[in-house]
Amino acid sequence: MSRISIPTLLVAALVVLILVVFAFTYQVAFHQVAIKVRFGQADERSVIREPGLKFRWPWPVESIAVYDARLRTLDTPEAEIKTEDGKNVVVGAYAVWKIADPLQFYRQAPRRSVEEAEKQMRSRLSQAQTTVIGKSTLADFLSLDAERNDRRYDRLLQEMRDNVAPGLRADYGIEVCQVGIRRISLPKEAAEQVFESMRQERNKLAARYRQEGRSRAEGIKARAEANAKQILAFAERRAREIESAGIRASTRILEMIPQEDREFFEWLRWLDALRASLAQKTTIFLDQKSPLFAPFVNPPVSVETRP
Amino acid sequence: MTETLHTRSRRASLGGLLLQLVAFATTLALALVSGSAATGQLAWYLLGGVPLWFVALLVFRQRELADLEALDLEELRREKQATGGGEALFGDEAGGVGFRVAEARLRWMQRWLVPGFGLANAIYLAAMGLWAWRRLAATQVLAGVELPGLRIGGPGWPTLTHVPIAMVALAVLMLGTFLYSRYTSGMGRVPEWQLLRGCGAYLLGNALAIMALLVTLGIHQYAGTPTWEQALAYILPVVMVVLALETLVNFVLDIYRPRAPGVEARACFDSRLLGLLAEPGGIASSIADAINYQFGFQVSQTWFYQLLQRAFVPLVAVGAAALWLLTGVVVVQPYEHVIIERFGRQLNATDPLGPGLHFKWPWPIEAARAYNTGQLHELHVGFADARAVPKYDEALKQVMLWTDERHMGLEHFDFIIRPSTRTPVGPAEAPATAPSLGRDTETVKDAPVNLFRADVAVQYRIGARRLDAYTRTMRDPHTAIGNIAWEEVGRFLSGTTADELLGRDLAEIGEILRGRIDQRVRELGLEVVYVGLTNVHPQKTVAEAYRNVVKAEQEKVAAIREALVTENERLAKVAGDASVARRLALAVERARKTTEQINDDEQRLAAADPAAVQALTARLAEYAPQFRTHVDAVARLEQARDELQQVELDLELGLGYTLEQRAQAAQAVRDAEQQEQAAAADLAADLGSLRAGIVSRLGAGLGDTLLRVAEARVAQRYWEDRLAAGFSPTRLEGEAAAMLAAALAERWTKEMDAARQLVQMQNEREAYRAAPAVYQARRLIEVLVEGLKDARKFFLAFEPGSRQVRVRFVVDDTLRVEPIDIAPPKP
Repeated sequence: MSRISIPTLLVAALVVLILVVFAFTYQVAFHQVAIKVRFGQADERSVIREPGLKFRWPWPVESIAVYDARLRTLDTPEAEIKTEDGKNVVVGAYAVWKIADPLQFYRQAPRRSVEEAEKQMRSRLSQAQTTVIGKSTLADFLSLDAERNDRRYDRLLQEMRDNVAPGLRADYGIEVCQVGIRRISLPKEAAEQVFESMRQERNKLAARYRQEGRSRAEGIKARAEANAKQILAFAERRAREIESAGIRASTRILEMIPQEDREFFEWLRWLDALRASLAQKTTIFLDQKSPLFAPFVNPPVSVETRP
Repeated sequence: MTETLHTRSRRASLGGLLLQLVAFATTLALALVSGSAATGQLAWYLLGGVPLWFVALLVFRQRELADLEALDLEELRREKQATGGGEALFGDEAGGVGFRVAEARLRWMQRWLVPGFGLANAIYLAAMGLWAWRRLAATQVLAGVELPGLRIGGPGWPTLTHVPIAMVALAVLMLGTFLYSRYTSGMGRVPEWQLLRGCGAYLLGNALAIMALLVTLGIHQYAGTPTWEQALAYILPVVMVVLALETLVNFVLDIYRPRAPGVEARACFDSRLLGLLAEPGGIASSIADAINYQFGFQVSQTWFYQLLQRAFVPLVAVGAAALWLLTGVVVVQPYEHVIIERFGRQLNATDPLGPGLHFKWPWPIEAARAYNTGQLHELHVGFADARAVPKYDEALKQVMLWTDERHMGLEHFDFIIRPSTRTPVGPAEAPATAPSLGRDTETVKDAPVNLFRADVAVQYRIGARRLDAYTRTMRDPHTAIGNIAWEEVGRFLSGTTADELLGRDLAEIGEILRGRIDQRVRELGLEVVYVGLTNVHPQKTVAEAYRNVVKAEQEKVAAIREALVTENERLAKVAGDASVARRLALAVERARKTTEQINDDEQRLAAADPAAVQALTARLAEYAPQFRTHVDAVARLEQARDELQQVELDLELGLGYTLEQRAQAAQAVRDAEQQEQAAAADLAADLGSLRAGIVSRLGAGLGDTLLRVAEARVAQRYWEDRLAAGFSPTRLEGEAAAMLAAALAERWTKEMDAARQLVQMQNEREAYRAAPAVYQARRLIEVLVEGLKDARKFFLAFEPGSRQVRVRFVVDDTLRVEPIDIAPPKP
């Protein structure tokens, strides 16, 4: 063997150092919690919550399990559930949870894996969802009266949480912080019925509008007619008043005629009436006694013969 | 000595062959047991080494035979020399080869067989590499199910099992192959055994691949992330293809290489790349060897090359150190904020580094984690697929109608909303929105619901000031905000009716929703910037019914408008102008009512003492001006109310008028109300003592009646005045005006007629008095002449005596000219 150069030695030492550091340390990030397992043994002291660089004995003496300690969301698939009042609704819920007791989770969660634990949580959550919604009514989900309903809704979610939380805490060391209903709808057939009734309601509204239009139009027309008649009636009254005033005025004039002239005046009126009656197309029957007929029967001999 | 050397080389290649086979079988088994894709790739990579060892074995055996043959020939030659004959037979050195069959076969092998196997190896590696890649990456159809290619870190990878066993086995294999490759590479330095160097290099490649696999399986075992192992499954095929390409290139270069005598040919599968790895200390000399070999002379002896070689290691070292130090520099982009973590502990979560240049301790002491606080994320609530992303480019191609089944390529979700409360439901009608969702026999009261659709876009970003909450509170805040947004939108809509949704300002609803969602995601470190509601509409078939309602509303307005037009026409015809006519009608109506009231009240007053009533009435008459003020105020109030009603009707129907005008009209009504109240108060104050006196004389009931009558009389006069003013012929138009005008004319005619007659009589009186009979006869004859001029005359030329004359007139006499039915006189 030839002699080994100093740089080579330095590099070798560095590599060895790095390897040793890697083998003897591990890191816990700010959002993590670690469990240091020594020869398969772990107790309360094995849970490390403080982040930073930590010492360990290399595998196989100690092994490290690291979990994310933050909240996680778990969705349940949407499922059809019958409510207490016999309605079927389709509900999709979610849970917000975290690993509250890492040691217990490490010991009891299936295969120590979050994914496996979530699978089992999901079935429990679905169960709770079916139970709690099965005991409530559809109206509980509708905020007809905002404040009262919010309370009812919150109570519902609280019930769902209470239904799953203790079991998961005891069995897996999981804490369920919140349960929420992502969305809620109706199954297809029920939705069709709703659409049908909405259509009917709208059609009824349309019919009402049309009817309203007709009746109001008629009302307006009737009012107009009434107003017109009132005005005309009043105008008529005024006209008669005016006319009677005319008669009064003419009477006053004629009163100015002296008593001795009355007969002559009446005769003049008679003459006017005669003229007026003859002014129209008139048919006259003249018999032999009429003075007008006489000239035809006994023609005058001559004007000169008369005295 | 030669014997042992040949045996050794043969054993070495046989050993390599067996080791390669064992390694292949082991890894294949491990791949099947553990389900590791990378292990499977490795097995096929290992198999590629088998033919290399095999050809080495053949060549070494042939070399042994050739040496033996040479030995034999030498022996023979020496024998011939010793016997002194046959010199001519073997004298010629050059021609001697022709007799050395084994030597010739060796040369043939080196010339053809070795490159041939190299080529075969290259083709195998390339084919295997491509096939293995395809098997992972390409989409496959299995039993009718389309399986997409596997993505690193994505779903679909088989779960790894028995990893510790595999790791132990692989560790043993790695050790074996590594040591054996070092051993054979060492042997390969001897020129005759150069073939072993290629085989050793290949084996070393295998050893490195096994090591890499070991590391990735270790990561999976202890860190729980299988992504490295998955990545290796993709890397190994690439390595195989690269090696295949290198062998091909070598094969081609070998053809053009100058052949120097005495230089042992280098096998084309003797990878230079792996050679570099095989001797990491001598990278430079590997390169030098390669160059020397290719150019046929000692390039590496030149001064320049020597200089490069001496400086190479320090250069690389300095470069690596500089790169490492660069990990201490953090460049934060304008849209980012960075949190520094020292060994996983956050140093500045509440005060993240803003854009610019920053420094930190190099990795792995400190790490910088950048968060994109500038980018707006968007999620959509309202489609059947809760996490779907709408396709805007599809939206651009269509007009989005209520009656569309899909918008932006997505199916809608039906939100539960409150049923309309605006429609009054008659007792006979069942509630319009009472779906029977359950069994027919259900007795529980139906909870009425409606279903509606909406597309709600929620835009949010990571709050720069909430980064500590963002990083520490939740693992998946982006999933959480999706759930929260859905929940809040659903909750909000469940308290809203369709009419509110369609009638209210959507921006206002968006702002409410933004506030609610923001409040809930604040603790997750997110901030909601905008929530927009678009496409609020009912389901497809219901939408048509909605349109029908809009149409009906239009029809209603149209009918009312038409009626108003008719009204205006009618009133204009009567009075020339609709508003004048309305005022007149009002005055007529009021006048009629006050008259009725006076009649009623006077009847009631008949019960009281007539003298007292008369006296008091006279006293009240003195207060006519005060009464008049009040009546005036009441009339103005009525007028203002009438106008407001008119404005509101017109506004409702969209016939002009602005909201401002309505406000003015409403203000006018309020003013008039105030004035009326003030006038009433004044009146009450003025009448104070008198009223007390009246009440004491007539009693409370009759006293009030008397007061009422007094005011009604004033009101009656007032309205009569109004009517007189309104019906003055100068102001009025229309039929009523015509009627008045005709009456006036008639009145005038009558008066003038009388005057004329008077004048005529006065004028003719003198003539008459002079000779009454003559005057009368003359005037009568004048009239008769004038009147009978055009008359039809029938002369009855017989003595009527006691006869009866029967004349029949025909109604249409004017049409039939000839005289008819006149009975002729009987002779």
